[in-house]
Formats: sequence, structure tokens, C-alpha cells
Amino acid sequence: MAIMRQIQMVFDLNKCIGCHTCAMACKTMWTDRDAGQMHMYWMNVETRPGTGYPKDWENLGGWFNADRNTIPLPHIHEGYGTPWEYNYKEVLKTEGGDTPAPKLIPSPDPSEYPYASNWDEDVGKGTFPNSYYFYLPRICNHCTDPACLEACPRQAVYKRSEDGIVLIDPKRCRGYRYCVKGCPYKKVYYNPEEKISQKCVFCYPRIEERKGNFCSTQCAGRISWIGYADDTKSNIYKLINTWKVALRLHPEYKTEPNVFYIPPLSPPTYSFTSKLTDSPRIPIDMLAKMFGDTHDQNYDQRVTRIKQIFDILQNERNKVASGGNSELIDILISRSEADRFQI
Amino acid sequence: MPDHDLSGSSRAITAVYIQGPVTLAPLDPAWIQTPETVITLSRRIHETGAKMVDMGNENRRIKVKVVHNGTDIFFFYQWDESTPNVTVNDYSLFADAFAMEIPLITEVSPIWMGAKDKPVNIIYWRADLARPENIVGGGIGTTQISSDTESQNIRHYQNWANGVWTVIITRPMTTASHNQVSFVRSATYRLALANWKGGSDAERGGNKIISDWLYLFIK
Repeated sequence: MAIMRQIQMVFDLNKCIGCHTCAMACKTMWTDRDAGQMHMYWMNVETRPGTGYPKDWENLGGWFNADRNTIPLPHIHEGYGTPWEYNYKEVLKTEGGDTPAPKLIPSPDPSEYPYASNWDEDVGKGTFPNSYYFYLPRICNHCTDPACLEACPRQAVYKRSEDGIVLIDPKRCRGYRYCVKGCPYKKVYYNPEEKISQKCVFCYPRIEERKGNFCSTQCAGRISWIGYADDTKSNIYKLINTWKVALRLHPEYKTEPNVFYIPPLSPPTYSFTSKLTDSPRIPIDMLAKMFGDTHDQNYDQRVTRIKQIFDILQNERNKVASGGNSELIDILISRSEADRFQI
Repeated sequence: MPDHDLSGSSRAITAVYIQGPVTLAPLDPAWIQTPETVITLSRRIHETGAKMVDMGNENRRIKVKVVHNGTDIFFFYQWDESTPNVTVNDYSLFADAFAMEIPLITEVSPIWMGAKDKPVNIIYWRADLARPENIVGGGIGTTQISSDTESQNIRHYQNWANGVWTVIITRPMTTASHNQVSFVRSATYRLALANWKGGSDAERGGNKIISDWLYLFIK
């Protein structure tokens, strides 16, 4: 079926403070129901550089960029992390008791499976004073060419013609997990209790009511914009196409993701002699290996684009700093919800 | 349905008539007096993108016995499985499964899940579901569990012991469901079997071994 419209999303990584309010909003809204969803974060925020969620997902492969027979299926404990419970009742004495100062202890013991969805938060890389990291919020990319859809032998995965949102029909799904293998972003999850695969639904019931998806509306940093790709008046269109400051995450996976990122600026590094250099702390090399416009862009073109985006952002900042106006900075500040959600 | 004279062929199975009640127990006397047919499953399905069963792992033998008492029909299946795969509590794990397929409205249908105008009726069992499902297929990728109450009439027994799976499936011979085949005495039906070996990133969906069409005669 032809896709009549495509919803898109932009995250400004310069504004993400890593508070995980988006992840918690999503968790509360969608995956707080049964035991089979405990390990799932349809929206997660990971620290970059880092191992991500599920662990090392960038090295697992997907339907269009790996040998389909060798793509591994992640493990819940080792890959997504054990969903720990804490002894809050005991510590907070909500059920009485007079245990002297009990310690807050996670169970099962994390040493058994030393990984979790946010295991390496804020670790980053680099040596003081040039250490660096940034946050990467991730949802399903609702790709134009969804690898999960392609991988499903039962047509259980479909892309809605009215907005391009990619969904799994729970009645068609038989839990074969080809979609989990297929998605190179590992944004399809398996629910071992329900015995079906599940994923981000882009809060489609809210989109149908012209409300923003929950991760966006709850975002404390107001880092995201949503709108339709063909709406030339929308801020999302301006960020992606007019100002050209938003890039796709791993477009080389060839799925044409519809979530875009404004790459993170960072302070300059110090030289050995404590002088400020011209190089940003977050290496352009690292960003160029993550972000780009299209799947056929090469590494050098990506480096050029990221530098170009940094120049645009810096120029527009300078304009405003010296008392001028900037449409781009106005959009990025996003004073009201109406600036961010144009659906 | 025309009669097929297949006596003596390993592809012929006779549903023996037993007078009186038959139970789902594997030690029910009905099974003692019923000869078994050993069916070899050796056809690998090729499904775009999906893994195929590894070469050398495609010859599987299933012991089949079928009885009926004029009211209910019972299918007794047994096959070797050194390690039972029942629990699916991680992404990588898949359970052992088995299915039997019969053309739904035509004498013959394409063995690979039928076709739109030649649908098939499948009874699918998977170790972790621990319940048989009545399914209708009209081509690869189209199978659907029937939701009508009339087709919720299948009962089963499953047990793994000493390296052998035993699965017994029973259903009324006559059904009011348009998603099920009704069995008539003296008629012959085509029947195909499928087997999935569970385990890590193991067989599921089209990644399975099937038999050729077999001929089930209802005595």
C-alpha cells in the first residue's frame, strides 16, 4: 500500500540532558504491563560513546546490511539487562518493621548479569580535561523501508499509509523474531510471555488525536519536533530540508529512518600545553560514523556535512548573541508545544 | 472423495475403527491394537530470507497411529528428540513443534500452506503453548488461527520422556466449523506432517521439515 504521508521526528542532541523522562514516560505508557515487557524500553537514552541498548546493537546487523543467517538474537539478561527490583518496601518501611537502616539492594544480584539498559551511563571516553560523551535518545525510526517488515514472513509488520507509522499486528505475529533480526537498530523487542514481538508505536492513538507522542510531550529538555515530511511550513521540514541541520542515524543501514538528529556541538579540546585547540571534544570522526543524510553518502561527505551543520549552528548563535534574529535559533529554542508538534 | 488403493504403501495411513470410548492416554488399549505407520519427513521448505533446516538434519521419522470411534478421531504421534525444547524465556529460544495439514475444501491443495482457492486446515502444536491450534492457510504467510467457537474443539496430550515426544490430538469427526475438515468413514484424505526442532535460534515458521502428502483412510 502506498504511503500517503510520513511522520518524522527530530532530536536536538545539543539539548538532551539525559534525564530519561522520555524513557520513563514511554515505559509507563506502553511497557509497564506484564513480565514479558520488563526488559523493554521502546524509547531509551544511551550514552555515546558506549555499548548501547541492547548491548552492542550497532554490531549485530540487520536485514539489509548483514548475512541474514548469521544475525544473532540478543539475550534478555546479557543484552537488554536484567530488570532489577529494589527492596523499597523494606527500606521505606511501608509495611512496618524496624530493621535498622537496611540498604537499598537490587535483585537479582547485578554481578550475575552485569549489564542493564543504561549500564555505562556518563562513562564516555577521553582523558581529563578532554573527556566527552553525549546522550542519544532512540525510538523506532519508522523507516521508509522497514527491515522488520521485510523480514517478517507473515506480513505481521505493516506500515500505515496515513502516516507511515510501522506497527506489528499482534494477531498475525507468531513470535518468529525475524523482525528482531531484521531491524539493524534493534528496536523490535520480543515478549516471551505474550510470545509475540512488540515495538514503539509512535503513540499512534495520540497522533490520531493530533497530540505529540508521549516521549516528546514529556521531554524536559524540549529536544524533539514532530511533523509530516511533506508539510513545508513545519519546523521539522525547516530543520531537515531548509536549514539542513538534522541527520539520520546510520543511514548506511539502508532503511531510510525517519528519526533525525541534530549532531552535538562540544567545547574545544585542550592541548598538552593547556591551550584551547580548534577540535571539538566529541570527535567529528565518531559523529561521521554515526550520522549522515543518505545511505550512499561516503565518510568524507559525512564529515563535511557535520562540519557544515556546526558552522550553521555557530553562525546563527552568533547572530542572536549579537542582538540579531535567527529563524533557526527560534525553532531550536521551541518556546511552545505548538513549535514542536505540528501534526 | 475418490478411493485410493494405497494398501502396502508407506504413505497410507488407516484410521482404525474402535468401538466405544477412547481416551487421550498414551496407554489407552486402542493404541495397542492399532498398527503404526512410520512416516519420513525429508522436505525442506525454502522461504525467502528465512533460514533453512541444515543439510543432514532433514530426515526425521514420525510414528503415526490414527483411530476413531465414529464420533471422535484420535491422532497419535511419536518422534525422537534428545533434548526437549519447551521453555521460551529468551529471544534466542524456540520450542519444539509439530503440525498436521489436510486440504480444507478440495481433494488436494498445494502442500506449502495451500492456496487462496485451495485452503488447508492445520492443527498446530507447540511445546511451549501446550495447546493445539486450529489454523487455516491459503498460501505461504497467510495462516490464521481460527477464532470461531466451533473450532475450539481440539484436545491434546503431550509428554516428553526418554528422548521421545508423544503428542496425541483428538477432535470430533464431524464439525460445524467452516475452518475444519469433517471426517467421513470410508473416505480418504490427504494429510501432511511438519516438524520443527526447537533450540537456540532454531526452526520456526517456514524453517521446518515436512512430509510428502500422505493418504489417510477412515475405516
